[in-house]
Amino acid sequence: MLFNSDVFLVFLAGFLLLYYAVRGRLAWRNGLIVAASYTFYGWWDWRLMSLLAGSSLLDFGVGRALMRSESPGRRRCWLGLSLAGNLSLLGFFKYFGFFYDSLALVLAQIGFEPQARTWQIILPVGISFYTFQTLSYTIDIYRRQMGAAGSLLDYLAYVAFFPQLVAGPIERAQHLLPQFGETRHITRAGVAEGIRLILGGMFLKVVVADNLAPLADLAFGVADPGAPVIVLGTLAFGLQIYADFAGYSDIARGLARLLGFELRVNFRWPYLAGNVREFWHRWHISLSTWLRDYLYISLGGSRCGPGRTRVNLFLTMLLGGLWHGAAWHFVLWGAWHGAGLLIHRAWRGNRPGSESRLARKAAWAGTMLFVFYGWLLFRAGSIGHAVSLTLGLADWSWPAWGGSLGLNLLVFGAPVILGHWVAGREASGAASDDAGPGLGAWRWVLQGIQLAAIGLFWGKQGTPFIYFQF
Amino acid sequence: MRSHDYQIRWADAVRAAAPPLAAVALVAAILHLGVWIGVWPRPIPALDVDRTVLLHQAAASEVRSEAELIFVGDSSCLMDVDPRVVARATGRPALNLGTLSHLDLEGQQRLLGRFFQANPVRGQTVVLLMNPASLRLWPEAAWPSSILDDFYARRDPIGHSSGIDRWLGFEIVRARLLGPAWPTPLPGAFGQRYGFTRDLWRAMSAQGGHLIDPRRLEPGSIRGSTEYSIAAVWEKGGRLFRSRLPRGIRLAAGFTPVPVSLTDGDLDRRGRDLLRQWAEWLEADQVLTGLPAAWGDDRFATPTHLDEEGAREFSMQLGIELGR
Repeated sequence: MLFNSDVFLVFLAGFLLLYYAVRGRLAWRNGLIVAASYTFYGWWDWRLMSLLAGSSLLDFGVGRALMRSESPGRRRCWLGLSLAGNLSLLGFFKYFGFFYDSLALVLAQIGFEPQARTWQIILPVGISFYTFQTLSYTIDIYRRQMGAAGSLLDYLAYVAFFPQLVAGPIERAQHLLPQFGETRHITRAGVAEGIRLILGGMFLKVVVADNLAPLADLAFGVADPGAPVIVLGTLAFGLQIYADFAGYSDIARGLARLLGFELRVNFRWPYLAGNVREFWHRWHISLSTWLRDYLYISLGGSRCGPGRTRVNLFLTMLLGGLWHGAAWHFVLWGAWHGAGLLIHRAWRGNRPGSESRLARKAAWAGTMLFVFYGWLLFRAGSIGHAVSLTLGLADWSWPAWGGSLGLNLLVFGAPVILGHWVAGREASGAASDDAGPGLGAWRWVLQGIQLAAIGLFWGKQGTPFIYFQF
Repeated sequence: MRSHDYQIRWADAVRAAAPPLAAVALVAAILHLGVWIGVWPRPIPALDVDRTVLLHQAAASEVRSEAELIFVGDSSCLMDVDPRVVARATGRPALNLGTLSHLDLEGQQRLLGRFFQANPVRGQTVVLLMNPASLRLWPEAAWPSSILDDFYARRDPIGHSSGIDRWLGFEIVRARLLGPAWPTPLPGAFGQRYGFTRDLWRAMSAQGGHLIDPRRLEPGSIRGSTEYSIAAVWEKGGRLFRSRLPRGIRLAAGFTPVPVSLTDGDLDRRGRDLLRQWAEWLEADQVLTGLPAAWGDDRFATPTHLDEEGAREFSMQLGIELGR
């Protein structure tokens, strides 16, 4: 079920009526959330519900066992079980085909002819998100940073909570789980904020992202596009993926607010970043902090000397790239950002102190060049295509429809650019995306425009969010 | 412990939702008022390939034209006939009004009717060209005709949209503001060749209404029946078509070629028989029997459309045939 579809609107209306009506025991509310979340998830394919339930039950059991056990060896075994269970699930459904094909390619190079793959494994939607969420739960208990969930129902609701189930934000149990054990307050400010976030998120998805998507499709689909089309197409994709994913995160946060829950901020105007490190502090924050806390630190972080720190950093980004998809161009994208972080680290070490305004502008421009070239690698679909697009940057031929491409990009990219510009002027861009610019009474006009534009571009079926495929 | 409590009243919720809804209602009222007093542009919902082609031809039919040869027909007429090449071969200005969608003969007749309202009858020739595969059935899609009707009546295409779209004026925005002016990206091969609706429109205008099919036929991929027949319903349709042409207009009828792998080796004779039968029903003044019935698969973009090179060559032969 997609947020931007008619069926979801009906589902949400029905759910909210029930939710507001069942005010009473916590178990009723959480039971309703679990039932609704499994319905929401099972709408894609009811068989996938068993994976979600299996992953949840495994980690709930491991959490309990970790709490009961004091022996370090036994605790390691329990954690190992959780890691093995979740990573096997992820590995099989998401990466098995990729590694099989890659191995077959290597074997073919050395003279073996393995059997070609005729089967296809379906990728369960949201699997990368909820396995990371359940893993963080068991790791936190193992690290004694939190206790195990007292109620299975609370835990099931935490893992399956439908607003953020399929594309995050990847919630930490320490933040979200306790909310299922408390009375939630549905306030006037919370509801108004929720509606504002949902409207803003829907606008980003339905109006901005879905209208930029065909531009990127066109630019990346055409044979020998030439530099202007590659540049405009890459810009379109960079703005599209932001609007798509930040839009989803805003809708998720807004829905949670309507129910009285709080989800984490996932984006902080990423295209204001003045360096690659800052970009990752602003982009998909719930993933970047997850990778930092559970992968980078587990690898040793910066505790084992500068050389090892660099290896850990690079490896973390490489695996972060692979998390996005089972393909080598995602690994290349991760490596690109890993290299960027290493270069920034070395650069920063040599240049302490404040920088001039001009230097900050130059740093921002350089960062955007870096980030958007990264989007070219990300969107290309294969390393071969990324190379041909890169070579195509030398050809400055302009197609007859180049003006139409530029006009579409300007109009549909404007809300993202304008939002960043306003946020950059206010509070030096430190505010989160959802804080929004201070518009006063104009907010109503803006919301009216958003609502009308959403209606204008609304499709009954909805188009999937980009991050669903990860 | 209670599951949740409310620190909000219904009045608060209404107060939060009312201003944006009121803003939307105001915009809708302005849109409808604009239609009522006639300040918005004419509705031209050219939002995809089919509608852009159909509406381009409808708009072209209303313009003053020097054309003496007017081509109408199915999508093979649109894709296979370059009127500039025909004009060079015959020395007579030509215009292609072929459409991509399944417009029936009544729809073709409406295009021609408009054309002859805008242009005086002075002995022009209408050339009706179809792919023989199109004659097996009568096209039954109703939407191309209703788009034409809406266009000529300067009506918003609201008959096809949902109630909310209609009330809130979304169709007015799509048809009157976005459609004519806004370049909407095209998907697939058409997108890669023409980019956007506005560019497709311009390309058609520059090519006298002709469109090059940008697709590529994979060798060996052609599938289809090698049996050609003409449905009986074409008799009534054909006679009606002829009867509605203004007096003094000549009618020529012909077939566009099919790929050789979709023939059973006897299409030359069978095709000529079919064409004569059809031309008889149409009471055609000229039967274009000299056109090639089948061509090599490598000249086709799809099983019914020639590629750019093929279209140029066919147009040349068509010009010679029309000159006879």
